[in-house]
Amino acid sequence: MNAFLLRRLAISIPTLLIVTVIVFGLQQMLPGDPALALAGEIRDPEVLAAIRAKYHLDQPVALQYAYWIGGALTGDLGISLKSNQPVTELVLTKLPVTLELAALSMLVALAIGIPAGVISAVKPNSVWDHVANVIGLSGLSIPHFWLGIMLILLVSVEWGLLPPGGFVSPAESLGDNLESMIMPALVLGSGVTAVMMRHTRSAMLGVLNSDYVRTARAKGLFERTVVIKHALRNALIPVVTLGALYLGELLSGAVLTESVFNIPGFGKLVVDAVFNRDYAVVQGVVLFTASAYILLNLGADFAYFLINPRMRG
Amino acid sequence: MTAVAGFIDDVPVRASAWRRLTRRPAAMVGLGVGGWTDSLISRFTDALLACPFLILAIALAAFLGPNLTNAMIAIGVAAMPIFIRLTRGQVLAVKTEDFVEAARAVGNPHRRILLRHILPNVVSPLIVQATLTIATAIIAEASLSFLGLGQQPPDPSWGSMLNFAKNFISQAPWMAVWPGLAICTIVLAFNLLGDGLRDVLDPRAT
Repeated sequence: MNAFLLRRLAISIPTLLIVTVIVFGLQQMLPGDPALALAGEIRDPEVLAAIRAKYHLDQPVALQYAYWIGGALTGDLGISLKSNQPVTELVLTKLPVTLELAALSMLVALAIGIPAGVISAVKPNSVWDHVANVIGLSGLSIPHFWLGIMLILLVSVEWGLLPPGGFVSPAESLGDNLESMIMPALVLGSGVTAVMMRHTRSAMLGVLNSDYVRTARAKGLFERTVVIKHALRNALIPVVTLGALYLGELLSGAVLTESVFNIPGFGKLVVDAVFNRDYAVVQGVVLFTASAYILLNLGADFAYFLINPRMRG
Repeated sequence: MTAVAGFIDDVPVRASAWRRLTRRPAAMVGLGVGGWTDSLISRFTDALLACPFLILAIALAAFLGPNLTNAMIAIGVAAMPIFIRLTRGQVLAVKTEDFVEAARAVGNPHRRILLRHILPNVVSPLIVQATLTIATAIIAEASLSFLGLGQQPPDPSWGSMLNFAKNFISQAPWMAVWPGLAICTIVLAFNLLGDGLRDVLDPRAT
């Protein structure tokens, strides 16, 4: 394996360890006695003592961390105070919904962002370039949740074309599932679409001015062949790795989209957990998201290594 | 008027100031001392970067309590790693320049080289990034308030106004239109200002 990949792998381990310290440290930020926060309305000293013993709160902080990390390594992230279910089970139940939303959003971003970036680079300073730039800047400036509300207002309330929210499992009805996911995917994908568009444009502008593209043109190849077969293939290398990184962002962005469209996914789980003071679930979601993000980062490095022959040299 | 009042009492500018207080010393210490301090700060930055911005802000708001001050801290902490990374990169580039070597050769102490020679030369990209991050911070604050984790009613915030407005979307759609447009306008303005500042202060980046 390449030294670069080994170094990235080696760096990921201490990073993950520090993430666990940060996530565990969140619990220490609770104002006052954590046992009181966990007990909610109950103030019975016996119950509080039982909570302290159960969560090792009567032990030194280092030992509490050791118990917690030991549990996390075996997949035990604690029990949800609200539903009394294991946090890992809750996260894994909600995850497929969010993953579907993130995957569809990425599809939207790739399907719109890359062609828009290519057109914008091929015809710089044209009307298409300006339109693509405006769309790109808007995608970065419009908050997802507001875009979601506006789409509900127009598409659902005014035109009655799509359901305003809710989720239908694909196992139940694939058509209804896709119908319920169109607007959320467009909303969540809007930001990444803008980023993809800007990066594709910038990468294409760089590649289109390179010597080998000039050579391809000099050989008399059709412009379409030059752009798609020669320029785009190389310009896509950084965009593909960026896509892997943005999957992590989509997991995070899903929090708002799921709240707006009332989708019972990972994001709604963490928001509900915050209001229910279900701290174990909040910690579990943060740990899971951060771990996924680190793995996606590693995946992006591996993808870059695989698709870029110069990295293997 | 309420929307304007919401912005005046909004957090992003203050969150950005908090970031400015924390980011430079961390990155400069990381480089000034070097070795394990740099490695530790870098790994800590990697770990913070691994926690997606909104999830980390939500978690901090959850554990610290949902209010304006904690939203500022959450947004500041969540956005801090970008500044540490940027400052680190800039200082690494500048500290190999001849004028830094000359300052060292004439016997300037380490701290003076960092503060008088390196810092003024790394400020421009940081100003650009701060302007762009204000835009991100406005959206982050609006997001937290929309979820009920930022500014609490009756104090105004564009995010909480949208949260309230979504319950009356079919009866009073304008309640959702104006706060959202206000957010878009101010975010777009800061993004354009950031792009403009980059053109002026950091021409190599364009």
